[in-house]
Amino acid sequence: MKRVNLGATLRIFWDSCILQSKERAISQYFMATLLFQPVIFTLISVGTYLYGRKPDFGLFAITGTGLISIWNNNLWTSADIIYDERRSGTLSLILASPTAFPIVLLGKSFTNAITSILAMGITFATGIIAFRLPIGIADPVDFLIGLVLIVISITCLGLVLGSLFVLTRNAVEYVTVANFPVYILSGLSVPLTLLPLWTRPFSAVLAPTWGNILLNQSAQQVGANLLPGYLWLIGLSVLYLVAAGILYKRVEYLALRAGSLEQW
Amino acid sequence: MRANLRLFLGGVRTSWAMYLTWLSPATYFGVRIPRMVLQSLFFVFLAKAAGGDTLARFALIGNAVQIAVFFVLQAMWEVFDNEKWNGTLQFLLAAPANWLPMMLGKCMASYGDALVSTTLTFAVLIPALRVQVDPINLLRAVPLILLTIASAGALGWLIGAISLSIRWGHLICNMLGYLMIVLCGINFPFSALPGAVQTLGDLLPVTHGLLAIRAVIDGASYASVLPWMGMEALIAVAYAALAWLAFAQRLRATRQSGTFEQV
Repeated sequence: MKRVNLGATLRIFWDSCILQSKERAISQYFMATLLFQPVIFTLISVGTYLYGRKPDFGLFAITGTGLISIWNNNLWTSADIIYDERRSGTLSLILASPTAFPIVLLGKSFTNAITSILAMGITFATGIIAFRLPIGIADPVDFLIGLVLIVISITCLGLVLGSLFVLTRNAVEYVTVANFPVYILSGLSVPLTLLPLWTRPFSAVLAPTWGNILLNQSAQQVGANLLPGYLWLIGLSVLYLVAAGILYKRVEYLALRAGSLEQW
Repeated sequence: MRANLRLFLGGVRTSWAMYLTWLSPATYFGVRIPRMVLQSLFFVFLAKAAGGDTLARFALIGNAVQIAVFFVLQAMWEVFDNEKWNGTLQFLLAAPANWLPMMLGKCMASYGDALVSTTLTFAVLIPALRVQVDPINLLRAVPLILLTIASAGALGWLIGAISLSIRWGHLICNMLGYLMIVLCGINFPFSALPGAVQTLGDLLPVTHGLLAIRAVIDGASYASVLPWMGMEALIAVAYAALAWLAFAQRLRATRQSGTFEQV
């Protein structure tokens, strides 16, 4: 049985976090999706609800937009991490090194997810400044716990996508088609009741769906029963991790058997 | 005139070849079409949740046009930017030929793609969401849709010309594309915006064109929407002229400095 050196693993995880932070800090695209996109999406979603004379949906639209930004950042950067490594010529080196690639990917995805929490603050600030919405979070502690759980869960989902993206040069293309279905299926700014019933199983396996429910419940009322939401997010995180592990083993096997990543 | 036409057709051939290289059938049908339909669907659902079927219909028409605008903004910026990254900017400078007809030709595949995007979005979402739109009136709106797309393309050209040296073109186009959903009355009427924001929207392409498109789809005559069409055409000419001046200035500056690295 392979022994895991916890100290070395943590060091690699930490170094990946630091490296990713530096890369993101100078990435204009990342900064834009983090800082500007939440503002624009909040203007669109809250503006549409206010025009439709549904100001009560303001908070729902804002938390939804915050999660859209968190998901968007994670999705784009999952693709970007692999794409950048490939273009820098370091993807093969990382795969061939004794360090497990998922640890590197985990560190990088986690950094993106943590940073993207800022987007949630920006959506709230936009709602307050642009629309003068009287926004308050009824239960800030539960809201924060929900936010941390959703970030962890989305990071795990990023690992699944990251593993898949190793086998394609078109990751960035696939990302463009993967964001809007998740917004719709997770009910981000759009009520799930608009969707046909057969879509519910797809919604249920997406972490943003439960994150959205948790954040809305904790923002609107104190003492809500959030346990089912917490359990769903924890369960989904474990499921994503297992799926990422299986996928990565398969991807690693394919890459090592081919002796090259050039064919993908 | 014949030389200019030949240059234009050369540009069209180049743009088509680049499109075929970039978009394989798998990418086009598996990624591009689903993305355009799903993006529109999200914003239409948002409108439906906010204002019911009436606002959903409003948003569907707006977003079907917006998706073309979104792509054409990016594509027009790329027409300029590609010259730099493909290393062909120096040939544009050195060649005695007029660069304008060739650059216009290089935009044609993107205009075609934008029109296909709008058509497919209407074709998929109208039956899927059971929205009432008269097909004859929709066909009558096609010239106006083309004018609006061309107008947005002129803005893309301007961004391309200006951002050659700052390298933020892609970002500006992307953010502006989404911002236009608010400023140009895509998801909810332009008249609902605050006065200052309306002034900003007035100066952008798409705003007036979309008002004309909506009116014609609802059965209005061309004559009744002439002021909006005229305004949209005027805005298109203004942005195109600014783009022409900015790009010509950029080429002149490059000739004077004798270096491409700063462009």
